Amino acid sequence: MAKHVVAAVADIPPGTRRLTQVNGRAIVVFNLGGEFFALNNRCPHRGGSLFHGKQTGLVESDGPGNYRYSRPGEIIRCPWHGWEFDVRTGQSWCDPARVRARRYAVSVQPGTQLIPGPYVAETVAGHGRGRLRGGRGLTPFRQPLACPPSSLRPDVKARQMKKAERIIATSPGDR
Amino acid sequence: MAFAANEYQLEGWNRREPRLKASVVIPYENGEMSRAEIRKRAGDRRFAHVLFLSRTSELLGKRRYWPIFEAAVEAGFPIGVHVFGSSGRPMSNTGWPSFYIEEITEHSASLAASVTSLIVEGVFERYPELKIVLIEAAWIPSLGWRLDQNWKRMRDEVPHLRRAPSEYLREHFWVSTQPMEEAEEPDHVLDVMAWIGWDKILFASDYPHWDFDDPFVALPPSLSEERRNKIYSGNAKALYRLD
Repeated sequence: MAKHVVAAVADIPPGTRRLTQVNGRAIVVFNLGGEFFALNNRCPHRGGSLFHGKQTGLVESDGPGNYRYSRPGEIIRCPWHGWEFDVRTGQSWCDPARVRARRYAVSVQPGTQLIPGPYVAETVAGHGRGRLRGGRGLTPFRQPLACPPSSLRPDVKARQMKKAERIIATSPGDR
Repeated sequence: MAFAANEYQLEGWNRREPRLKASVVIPYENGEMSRAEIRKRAGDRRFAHVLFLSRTSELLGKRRYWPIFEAAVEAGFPIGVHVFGSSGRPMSNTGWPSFYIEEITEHSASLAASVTSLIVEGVFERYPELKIVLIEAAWIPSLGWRLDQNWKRMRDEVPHLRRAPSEYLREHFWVSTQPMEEAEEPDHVLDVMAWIGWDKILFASDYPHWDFDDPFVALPPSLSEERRNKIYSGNAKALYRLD
């Protein structure tokens, strides 16, 4: 399956999510403290828009009367019927064996890998930061105006890599 | 009074016919006194279970009743909940009914609220050995569906539940047959019985009440011999450890 550029890292700051479209499919991209995850926007229960749900944490209990709140921001609740899904895996909390929101792999890649140079001379300073799930840090970059990374450019689509399906948030790449 | 009622059951019935087992009558609105009475009867095989009536002062899962559940589990007694009672409140949430037909029909719907309470308050997480016998109220499949549906939406309100509510319903509850439901389509009754579980249904006659079920004609005629025997005796022998 193809890779698709969906957003610039700076467009999805930590703790936020963004609704993107890839070949007609609505996909929500989440940034959990710098880690990116993507789920199909369609709730597997009745089709509600997960993007419009409440991003919350996990409530657990060791027994009646005891409550424990953990993993803040890592659970998305469908706005229609409140079903909870793990942002990291798409798994439903109540019915994990049978129900999950479809998950897509996400990676962060430097713009320079997506659009090799040489670039036009005019540049502006970029400001975003991001890292891969593995933790590789990236530095601020100088972004060519000719390559607005937040858009799904036709010339990028033309370079789609025929590998595992990925949603790519482009990151500022150094030259 | 409860102590006297228990002594009377032994003297008036069990002594003359040992196959008749007694219920441990308790003053269930007082958890500590009830616990003391249950402890007195612990180990006495002439008693089968601890008896509640369904119209308690509060919903049955509330903590005021937990000492009773604890004592019943310690003593190895299931809890029987028979419809009726005297909470002083109407069973509906909008006032008193006009007719007896309303009263007798509302029992099962009213008890559904207490069954829901037992499940969602986490009673079965605290007392995993607890067994409940619902006497004269057998509507539970649709209750299970509704509970599961709402649990998927409101799970975080009751995180102490580790499984879908219907799983507690199927595991911890037994039902008695009387009054045997009479659907226009006989298969519908069989579907309900299958959902509840063929090992969870206990024959009850309700003798000597006017609306009792005749053991020879009450059960659906299409039941297999094996299922019939379980309902008539096998399930009760297993639950109450008779023999």
